[in-house]
Amino acid sequence: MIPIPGFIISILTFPGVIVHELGHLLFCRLRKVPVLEVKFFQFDMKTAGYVLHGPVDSFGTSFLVSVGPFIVNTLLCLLICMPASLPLRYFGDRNLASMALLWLGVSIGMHAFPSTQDAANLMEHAKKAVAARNFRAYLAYPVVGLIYVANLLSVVWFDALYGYFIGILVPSWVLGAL
Amino acid sequence: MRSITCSRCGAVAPRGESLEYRGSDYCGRCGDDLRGEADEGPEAFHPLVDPTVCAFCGADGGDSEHAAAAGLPACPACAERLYRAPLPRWVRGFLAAVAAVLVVCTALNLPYYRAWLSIRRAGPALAAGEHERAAAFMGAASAALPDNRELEGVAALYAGLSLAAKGEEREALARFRTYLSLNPADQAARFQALSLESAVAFEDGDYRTFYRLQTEILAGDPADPMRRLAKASAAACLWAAYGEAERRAEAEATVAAVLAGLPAGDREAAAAAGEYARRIRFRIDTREIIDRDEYYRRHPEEASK
Repeated sequence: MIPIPGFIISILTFPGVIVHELGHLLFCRLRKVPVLEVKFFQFDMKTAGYVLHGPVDSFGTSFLVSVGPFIVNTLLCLLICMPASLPLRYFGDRNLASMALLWLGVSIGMHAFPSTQDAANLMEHAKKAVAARNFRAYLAYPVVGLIYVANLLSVVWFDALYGYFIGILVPSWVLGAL
Repeated sequence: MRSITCSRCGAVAPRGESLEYRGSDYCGRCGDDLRGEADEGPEAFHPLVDPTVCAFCGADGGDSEHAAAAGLPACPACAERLYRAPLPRWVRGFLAAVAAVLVVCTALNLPYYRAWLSIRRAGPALAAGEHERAAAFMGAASAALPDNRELEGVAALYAGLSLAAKGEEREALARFRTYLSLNPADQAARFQALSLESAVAFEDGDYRTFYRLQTEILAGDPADPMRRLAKASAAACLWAAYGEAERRAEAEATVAAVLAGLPAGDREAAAAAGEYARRIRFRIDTREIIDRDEYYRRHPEEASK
C-alpha cells in the first residue's frame, strides 16, 4: 500500500473535488437552501473544497444536500466512463481518448462519498427528526455509518476502488449483458 | 434603519450595531465595556439584528423589513444570490471542458462502437449460413478500425468463407492466406486453405500439385473416407493426364477399400462415398478429367441417385 497525502490525491483528481461541491450546491439550489460560501477547489492540506449553507428546514433536505455528491459523482462517473469501456474491454485498445475519459470519470467517481462533516450534519438532523417522531430519519443512521466507514477506509484506497468499480467494472458488466 | 436607546449611556444607536444583555439593549461601545466587566462569557451577549438592514451588503430598507435568508435579513439582490448561488466563470468553464472532453472522446471512440455492432451482426449471419452478409458485416467492422490486425484477419476469414461458398476458390484462397498470415496456429483454417489450394490446382490443370495437396490433406486424418477418395481422385487425374499406371492402381485400390470399409447402416456416408466413387471410376475408365458439374450435365440420370 502506497501512502499518498490526501491533498496530492485531491490535486491529481481535482475534477472529482469540483463535482463533489457541485453536487452539494445542486441540491441546495433544488431544495432552496441559501448558500453562504462555496469553495470548489483550494490548495489546502485539510479541505480541498466546501459548501457553507444556511439552516436546513427538513430532514429530507438535509439528507439530499449531504448525499448529493454521492448521487451526482456516481452518475457522472458512469456516464463519462461508459464510452471508454468498449475500446478497452472488447478490443484491448488503450487509446488516448479512452484513457482521458477514464481519468476524468474515475477521478469524479472516487470523490462520490460525502465527507465526515457531511455525515455529522446529517446525523444531527436525523436525531432532531427522530425526536420529532419522523421515523424515516432512522434510515439515515446506516447511511451515516457507511459514510464514516468509507472515509475510514479511504486510507486503503476505498474511494479509488469505488471509482474503479463504478467507472470500469459496471460498464464492463453492462456491455457483457448486452 | 432602526435604532435603540442605550440602557447605559442613553445614546441613540443603530440597532444593527448594538447588542442585548440581560434583557436590555446597549450601544456598541457600552456593550464592549460590559463584556470586560461582566462575569458571564460571550454567549450572554446577543448581537441585535436590524431587519431593515441587509446583513450581507448593508443595504438600508428604510422602514420596510427585508425577508430572512439563512436566518438573517437579506435584500432582494442578496437573497437572489444566496438562493441561486451562481457558478463562478471558471467553474462554468470547467463544466464546459468536461462536456467537451466527453463529446470529443466519445466521438473518437465511435468507430469502436460501429465495429462492435457489425461484429454482433456478423456472428448470427454466419450461423444462419448467410456467408455474404456475414462477410459484409465483418468487412465493415474491419473498415471501422483499420489499424486492428486481429479484426482484419477475421474479416479476411469471413470473406474467404463467403467466396468459397460462391465457388470463387482463387479469391477465397487469397483471403484465407491473409487470415493465416495473422493467425498461423488456426489448424481448421489451414485445412480450409489447403482444400482451396487443391481446388485451384485442379482448376488450373496442375494435377501434380493437386495430388501433392491431397496427400497433405489426407495426412491430417488418414482414416477419413472422403479425404481418401479425394486423394484417389487426384491419383486418377495423374493416370488420366500422364498415363501413370501406378496412380490408376492406387485410385482403384483406394476406392474399393473405402467402399468396403464404410460402416454398415450409415446410408448418408455410403451415398456420398458412392457418388464420389462413380466419378473417380469415370475418370479412370475414360481418362477424361471433368469437374462435378460437367459430370452431372453428362449423366443427368445419376443426379437423382
